Amino acid sequence: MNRLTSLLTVCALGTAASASDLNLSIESGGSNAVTVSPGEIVTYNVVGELSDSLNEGLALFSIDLSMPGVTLTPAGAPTSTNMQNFDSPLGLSNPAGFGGTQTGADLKQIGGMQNTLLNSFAPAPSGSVITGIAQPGSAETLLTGQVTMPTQSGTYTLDASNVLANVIRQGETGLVTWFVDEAGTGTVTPLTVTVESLFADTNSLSLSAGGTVTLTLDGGASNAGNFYFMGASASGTTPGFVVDGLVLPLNFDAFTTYTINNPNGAPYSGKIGFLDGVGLGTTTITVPAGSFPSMAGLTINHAYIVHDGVSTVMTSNAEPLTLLP
Amino acid sequence: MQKQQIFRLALPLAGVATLALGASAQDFQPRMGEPLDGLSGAQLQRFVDGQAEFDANLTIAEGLGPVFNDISCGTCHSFPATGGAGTKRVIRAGVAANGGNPFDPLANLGGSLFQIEAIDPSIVEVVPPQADAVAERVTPLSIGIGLLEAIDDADILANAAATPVDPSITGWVRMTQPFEGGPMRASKMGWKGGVATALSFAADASLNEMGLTNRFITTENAPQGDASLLTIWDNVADPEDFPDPVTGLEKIDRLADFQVLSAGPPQTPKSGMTGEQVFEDIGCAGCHRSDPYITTGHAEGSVLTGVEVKPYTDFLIHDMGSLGDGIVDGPSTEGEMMTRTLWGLGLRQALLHDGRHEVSVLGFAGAVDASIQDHDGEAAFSRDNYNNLTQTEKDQLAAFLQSMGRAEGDWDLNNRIDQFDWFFLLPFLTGPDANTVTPDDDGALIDFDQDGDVDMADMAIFQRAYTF
Repeated sequence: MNRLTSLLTVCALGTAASASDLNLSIESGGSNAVTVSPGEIVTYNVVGELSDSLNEGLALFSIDLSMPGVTLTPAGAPTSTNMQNFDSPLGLSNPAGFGGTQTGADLKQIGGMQNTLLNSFAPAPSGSVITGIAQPGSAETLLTGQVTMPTQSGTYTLDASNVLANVIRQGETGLVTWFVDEAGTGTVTPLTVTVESLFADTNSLSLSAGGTVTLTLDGGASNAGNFYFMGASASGTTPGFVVDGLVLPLNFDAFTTYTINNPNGAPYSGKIGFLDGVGLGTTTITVPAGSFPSMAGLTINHAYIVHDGVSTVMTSNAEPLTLLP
Repeated sequence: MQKQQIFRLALPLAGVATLALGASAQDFQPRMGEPLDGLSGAQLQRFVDGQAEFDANLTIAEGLGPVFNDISCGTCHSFPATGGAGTKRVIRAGVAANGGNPFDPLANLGGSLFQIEAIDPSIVEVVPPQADAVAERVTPLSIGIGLLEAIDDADILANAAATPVDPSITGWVRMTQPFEGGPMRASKMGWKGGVATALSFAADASLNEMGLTNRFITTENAPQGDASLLTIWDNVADPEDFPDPVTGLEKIDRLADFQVLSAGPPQTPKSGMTGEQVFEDIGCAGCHRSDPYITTGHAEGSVLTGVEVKPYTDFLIHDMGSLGDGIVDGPSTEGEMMTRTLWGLGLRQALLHDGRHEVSVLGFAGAVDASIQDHDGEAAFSRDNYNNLTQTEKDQLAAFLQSMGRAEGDWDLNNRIDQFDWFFLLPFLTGPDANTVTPDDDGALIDFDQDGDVDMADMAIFQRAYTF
């Protein structure tokens, strides 16, 4: 009679019993966008909140996670009391675990369900249902995971798909069982992770006053000791050009040719070299006062490649430097 | 208690606008006795009212009797839920054709249907001693009738015109006039055909099983055919059925509503079992058509239109040889029977028209085997093919037949999804993309989306399908 009582409840309430949606936000440090260094480990949370209170809270959830260009590893086992109730044996998850089933670089079906069955015969689920989970105003951290970002600069998006959720039907008390209804998929806010490997201490320089700009190279620990080469362009970053299959975000022009032909020529120092033991390096641009007045108004972009002796293994993001009069 | 709760909940329904179920594209099939998916609020109210009527005991003051077979529809049509099949038998009898004399239904003595109960013991009917053709008929399934109604007569006529899988098959369409009027329709119900619509069925059964005259049949069955007994015992003015002052619906309308708006039996797995191929190979599908029908326009609208239905029958009248019941019913002769629907078969307790093979005695596979052995006439070739199968193939066929009526997740086949089922189903949890669960595996019982695994996508549906 579950279906019939559900239908009648729908009609009696004048609203659909399955009207609740599960909204998801994938966050790191409370934000949906972070910038990190190459190879950095990013901790993320998937936070869920139901769209309304026409239910007694979350009964089941399951999501797939993917981050193109990055291989994900299973999320961690839940540590909160609420979420442990969704993990076997208190709850029920896939055999691979609450943290998801690895399929290629992606994770499938992270999550689990509470023991709304009131099961007491089979080994799982065996917990007691907790109500009110993820109701409006009580957003719940559904899962926590970590991802090791690649060294390649770029923007990576951790996104959820195939969101499944059930909610405990409004008014249920678990006297004989806990009837549940399907929840819809609400909003899914992904996490954007930007990997940056080049930082400038300033993005403008007065040619009349002169000065020094320091570019910090962060190739990540995996590139420690590798060779790097800083390039430059006065004609923009898009589309850039390809080196060993990787895009260096510099449009090849005369300025690029100059920097290639004059590896450590003025005004640069440290334009080529080897990253240190933790993958860091420095390039300095020193412009004496009154130099290059005809270049005023130009924006010079810098970016570098890292070579491991065999091939180019990384290209950095571009850092602009606007030359002021 | 549960039903009381349902009816209480139903009260605020009056005037509710159309509400869709909101079921996801992939959800569980309605269990036997449950309403069709997608009913409007008004239709759901009619289903609930009809279900209540189906279970309501008719009193003498309301028109029960004088002779009857039972006091409510639900008393007999009860397993595994209201509207289901049953084991109660009713009796048809007559004098078999002899020489130049045709079959005599003994109408002047109360036949050919002899009611087995009466409002007074003195008028209980007995089968006259001269009757030498006596047949029992077991309670059939009476849900999903709307879906059957909505099958286009042209499809039934096409069944008759199609080249048979064996030359011995020569089924014909029994066209019949619905009580409510309109054009002649192909029979969809009746052991020998003769009933085309749920309303006709409700009107016929109300009189013949409960003694309730109605707007279509206003004359009572006289006990043992004796009109003088009617004068004594029939003290309710005919027609005994009357319209509800609020809804304008009569009992027979409510009974028809329940049958029309109830879902057909589920089938799990929905397809792909090895036994289904065996079913085809040995010719069962020559009459128990396995190709689905697509329903066409029905007055109830989209819930009954464009729906794929697999009742496993061609709705044709076939000469079944010795399996015939010996009763003549209109143009259907002694040996002729209409191909029975097989949907719901896995939860039937007694097989064949007279329920002669009881599942509780023989087990399901045993009852199936015995029933097939009794197939004769146009089905003899198929029976012979069956007897040439290996035991493994017979087991596969029985497993397929048992899938008809089984709800997803119902391991123990009781039309409930509870923790007894879960205990046996938990070991089949594979996780996504296992691609190891075939339709022949027990894991298929919980592979709702039939994608070859049992994972959280299936568990999400299982959790919603769970009863207790």
